Amino acid sequence: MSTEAILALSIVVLAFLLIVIFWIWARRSGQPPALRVMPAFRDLPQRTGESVESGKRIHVSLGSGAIGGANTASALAGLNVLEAVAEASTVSDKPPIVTAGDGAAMMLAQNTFRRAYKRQNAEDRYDQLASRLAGTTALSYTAGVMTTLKDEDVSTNIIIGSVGPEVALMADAGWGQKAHQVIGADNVQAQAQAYVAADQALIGEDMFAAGAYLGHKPLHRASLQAQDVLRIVVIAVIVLGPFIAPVLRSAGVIK
Amino acid sequence: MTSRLLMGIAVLSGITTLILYFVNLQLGLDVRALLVEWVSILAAMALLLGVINLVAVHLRKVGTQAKGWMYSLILFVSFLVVLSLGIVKLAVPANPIGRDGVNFAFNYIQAPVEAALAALLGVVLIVAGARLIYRRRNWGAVFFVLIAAMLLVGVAPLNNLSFMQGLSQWIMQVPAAGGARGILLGIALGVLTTGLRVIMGADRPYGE
Repeated sequence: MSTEAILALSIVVLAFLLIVIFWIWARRSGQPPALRVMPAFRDLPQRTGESVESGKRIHVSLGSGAIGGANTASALAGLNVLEAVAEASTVSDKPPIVTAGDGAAMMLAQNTFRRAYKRQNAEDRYDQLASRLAGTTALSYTAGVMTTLKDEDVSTNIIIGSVGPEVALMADAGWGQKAHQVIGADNVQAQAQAYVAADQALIGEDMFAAGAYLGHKPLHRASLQAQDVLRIVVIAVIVLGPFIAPVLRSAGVIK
Repeated sequence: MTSRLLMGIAVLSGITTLILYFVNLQLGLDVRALLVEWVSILAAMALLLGVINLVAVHLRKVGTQAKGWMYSLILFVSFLVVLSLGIVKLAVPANPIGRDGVNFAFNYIQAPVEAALAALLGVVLIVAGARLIYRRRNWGAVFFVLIAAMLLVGVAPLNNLSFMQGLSQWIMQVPAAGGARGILLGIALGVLTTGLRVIMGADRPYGE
């Protein structure tokens, strides 16, 4: 096995162990860990309630990335948000609308919806066409989302998934509808656009914390804590790397 | 019971793929290739269901004459035309209508429309920058717009502003590149922990 493979495996094993340790720790102490305030997730339940009361729709975009590819995790983060939104809005006359850029992501969104309605004993209100394939390329997806925002009376526009700079066009369409906008993306350029165009932008890895903030599941919180520890480890490696590397090189551990 | 079975299959597939990624054995490579093949077949089926969903959504809009139903009608007619051309292309490869029709639809309709949409991005960004100042009246927003303006001037072909070009190059190569790498490292950690959550069965978008 190459040095890079050993390093990658070590990081995966370390992350796994940290998640398990934090999960056991939370179970034993019975106290959930304190999380910093993230306005986008803090305000989401209130926004959902307001949309339900005003008879308007919430739109959740999972981005144009495909499930099974490099963007799977981003789509899963969007599905975590969808789960929370769907459960809170099952009583609404106008259920939320989800758009995806991939058939598999659309099917997972349908399942997430159906599950939320089933939990609330409201399966008769479940609408299979509330989860939609908006387009299969980045720009056709963008065009599909822009039309959806315009035609469906959307008051809250949540974009969490794999999107590129074209997210600015979607945000502009949302602005035209005076919608409150929350945007999180796995692309650096899209994050810059999100900072400019969104009311609440999720920068960096913030969007992957959706499950911990909205779902309140112990394993989600444990994974968020593991993520924080790993971030400190990465910072330490970057800062100390220039000092440690010559030692490891002279010992023949690295080339 | 079904939910547990699904979770078992997902967890087993995840762990197997992860282990095989690190183990360099022929058997491992064969199993990985097989799993990737299955994923491709499933993705193709999912795409087909997605297209059916797209057509169903727009047909419902046309049927109920909901807002924007005319565009849905145009989409449905376009879908039928391109689908027919594709079927002709497959059934009679020598037929020029089928062969050239699909290429025409992509090269002369879809590609220019997408290019036009992409060209709008520049205008939309300038408008969004102005809105940022209007919406968030804080130093962060002002700083963001000032730096963006400075970078725009820096990349403009102005000979007497070479110091601006140097400054914008430094901004892009040092603080901006450093910040972007930091963000990417954070995203990588988020992707890693999300993947592990799926393997551990905490994230189950497929389950009951």
